[in-house]
Amino acid sequence: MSGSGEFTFDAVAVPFVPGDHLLTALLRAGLHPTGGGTLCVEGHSPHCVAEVDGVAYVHTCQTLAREGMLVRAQAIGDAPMLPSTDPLAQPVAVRNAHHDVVVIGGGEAGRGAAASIGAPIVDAGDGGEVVGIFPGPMVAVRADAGMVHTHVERVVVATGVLPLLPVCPGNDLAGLYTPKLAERLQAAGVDLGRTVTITEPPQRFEGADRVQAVVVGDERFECDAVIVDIGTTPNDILARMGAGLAVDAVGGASEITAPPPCPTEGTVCPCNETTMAELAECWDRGFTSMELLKRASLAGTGVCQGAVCSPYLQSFIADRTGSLEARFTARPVARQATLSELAAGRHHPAIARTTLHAVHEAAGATMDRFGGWWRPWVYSDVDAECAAVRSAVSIGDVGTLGKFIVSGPDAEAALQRLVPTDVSTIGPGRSRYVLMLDERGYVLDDGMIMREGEGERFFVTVTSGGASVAEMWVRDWTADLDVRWMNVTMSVGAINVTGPRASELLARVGFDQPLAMLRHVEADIADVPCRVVRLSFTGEVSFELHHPCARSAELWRSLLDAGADLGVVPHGLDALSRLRLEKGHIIVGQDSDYDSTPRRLGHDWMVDLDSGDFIGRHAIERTGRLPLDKQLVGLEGDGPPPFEGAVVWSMDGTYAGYVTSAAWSVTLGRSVMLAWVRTVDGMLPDEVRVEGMVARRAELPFYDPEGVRARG
Amino acid sequence: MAEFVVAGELVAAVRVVAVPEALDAATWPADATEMRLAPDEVLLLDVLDATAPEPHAIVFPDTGWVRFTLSPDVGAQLFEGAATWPPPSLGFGQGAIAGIPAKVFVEADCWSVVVPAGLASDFEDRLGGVLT
Repeated sequence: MSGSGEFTFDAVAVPFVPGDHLLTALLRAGLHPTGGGTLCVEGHSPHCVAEVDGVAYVHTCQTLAREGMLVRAQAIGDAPMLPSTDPLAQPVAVRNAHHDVVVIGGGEAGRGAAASIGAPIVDAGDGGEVVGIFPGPMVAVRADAGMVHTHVERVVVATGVLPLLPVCPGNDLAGLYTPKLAERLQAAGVDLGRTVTITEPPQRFEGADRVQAVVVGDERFECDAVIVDIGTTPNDILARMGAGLAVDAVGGASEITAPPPCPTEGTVCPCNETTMAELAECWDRGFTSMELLKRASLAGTGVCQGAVCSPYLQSFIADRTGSLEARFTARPVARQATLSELAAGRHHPAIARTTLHAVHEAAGATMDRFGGWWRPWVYSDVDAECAAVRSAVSIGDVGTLGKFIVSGPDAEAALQRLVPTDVSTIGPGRSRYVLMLDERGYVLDDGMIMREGEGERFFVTVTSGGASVAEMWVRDWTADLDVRWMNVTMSVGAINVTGPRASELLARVGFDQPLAMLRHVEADIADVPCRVVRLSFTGEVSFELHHPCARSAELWRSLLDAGADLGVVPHGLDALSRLRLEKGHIIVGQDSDYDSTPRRLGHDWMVDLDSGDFIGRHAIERTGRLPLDKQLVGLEGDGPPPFEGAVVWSMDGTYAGYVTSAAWSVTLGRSVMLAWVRTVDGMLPDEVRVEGMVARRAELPFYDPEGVRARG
Repeated sequence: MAEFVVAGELVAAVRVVAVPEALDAATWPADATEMRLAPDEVLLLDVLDATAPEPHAIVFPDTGWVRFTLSPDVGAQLFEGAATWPPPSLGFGQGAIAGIPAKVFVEADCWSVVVPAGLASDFEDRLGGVLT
């Protein structure tokens, strides 16, 4: 129980005595939280809300006064000011609880239900305020120590009934109380003056700001306060919030009661200040059901979630249709909740780290997030990293690649279905660069397929960040086949050794056998068991070393140590991106768009229509007959590289496309780009303008078009 | 008695993918802690190899997991603060803990929580936030 003291209400000092709720103290001081309107003790009337210590929509009838509280009036229909301090600065703890059933409400019905099924009770009187019911179902409860998330199979709502609040002219005056509140106020020594208790809906309240008289039937009663005792209505907000979930109501909350007489005048929804006249207008415009009326008039969409207005909406509709419509759905939350409370127990998606993460950081790499992974962007000098690849040797962490092992009698058939290439021609120890298409023939991903040994077993890689989507995709499409998939993305590390002296470096760490392009072999490198894959993304001789990820750091260090005199340095993603751009290699997701067919990408050479049925085949065949409307092309210019996403303009100033990748090529001495460019009369323009620079269309790749360097 | 550590440690493991019936019938090394990740996939902790339960099974020595060994009290505290699913009373369960996909094996005197190595650092940070 709080002691005596003072809080401030809009800078006015308000004294309180032990046990006072804010509302009690305010009324004792002659203040009304929102200026007027019927007040209750159940925390459902919107007329008592205020901003308390920076938290908006707090029901002052439910909040005990404490010394120094800062209370500010809050207009019911207006949005409160955003917090001026970081709303997440004070994290709110969360506790997860699990029960078969939970009962909300500690009244007679709630206690009875709880006793019969042996379920715990959540009750506001015990410090557990239910904020909302969420899918699960999960009951979010605000407690002294933070939030409690109660996960259950079923919720029983036993929240009883609420007093019916009056709808008539003057129902926004001060001095209107429900019986329970009047009782509380009188017990707290609040002088209500001359009171009148009404037990049937009034015609009107009279007064300026405060009530001075009430008219009931033909009688007029002068007074200082009206105790409104005109009936009850089910307190079913939480039950309505649980629509579609395993939520039942018992007791008063479940009662189907006759609605009150339909008012003819007055504000029916105090939260949004919707009047009876406006309801009638919405009805006349054709919004003739509960849900439509709610949406058109906004009645029921405010703070109290229809606690005040929904009985009257029912009577309004019943008056016109003769039938009783169910109340509308309520949405979480049923009480004010801060961002901290809503964020309790939530986490940002984790960004994965390769087992080389600490090594990169120790080397001074600038780390950034790409495709769901932390990756080294640059170590110190991107030009030096590119130069090392082009003239000596460099290593890069490509452990982020999506990786799968595929096995089973139907493994080949499964892959054949997934990619537009003849998988049967990928022999043991060989690999192939492949595209993965969706049903529309658009490129979904790309990667490598490697056949292991003589049997039906393959190793497949996809783009970094593509693994989880690819896993769902391949499993879905091959569920009818006798095939096993294992996602080893996070288990297999991969280091790219690239540059004209890559073979020399590998020879120093134990791998000196010749390995032709697109071949792979298992071998120990610096005593680490590896799958060595010969390929090239940079345009130089390259080997990917796939290995147990726990040994990545050991392998990395061995390569750096062994190649020190060869000039080996690590390269980051920035360098890799520039180098592959010089070779015209695409990055799916960066250079491809949502509608990129292999033909538009200039990769139709990767589609083998003789390879049987594959996903996207029919779309490829159909769209292949259409004129090409745009294509990913190479552009080069003499000015600085444009930003990625820059608009490509035709020379006559019309829109022609946009840049997907751009970089200054130190090797070539000019800017190189990949860009989507529209065709005109079936032709691609030879020149375009990008950020004021004339860019020439260039054949891809820009660098080493014969591929001599990659073959070594 | 197990040593309880809040810091994660790489764990020796073998992952096996095979047809469900073969996994149902398989026997694993006696020391292995068996986690049935899916009908067709099992993760075996504390072993370096396993016999393929059928000819096309994938048996993969897997170094990509980090184990956090917790006392039952700490384990229960972790679940209470960071998991929306109840821990198994004994044996294996899986789901998100503090937003990280995790596997848990509950024994009477210790709980093993296993997460992918790539997410272990985040998990450790979040664990600290929950267990304060």
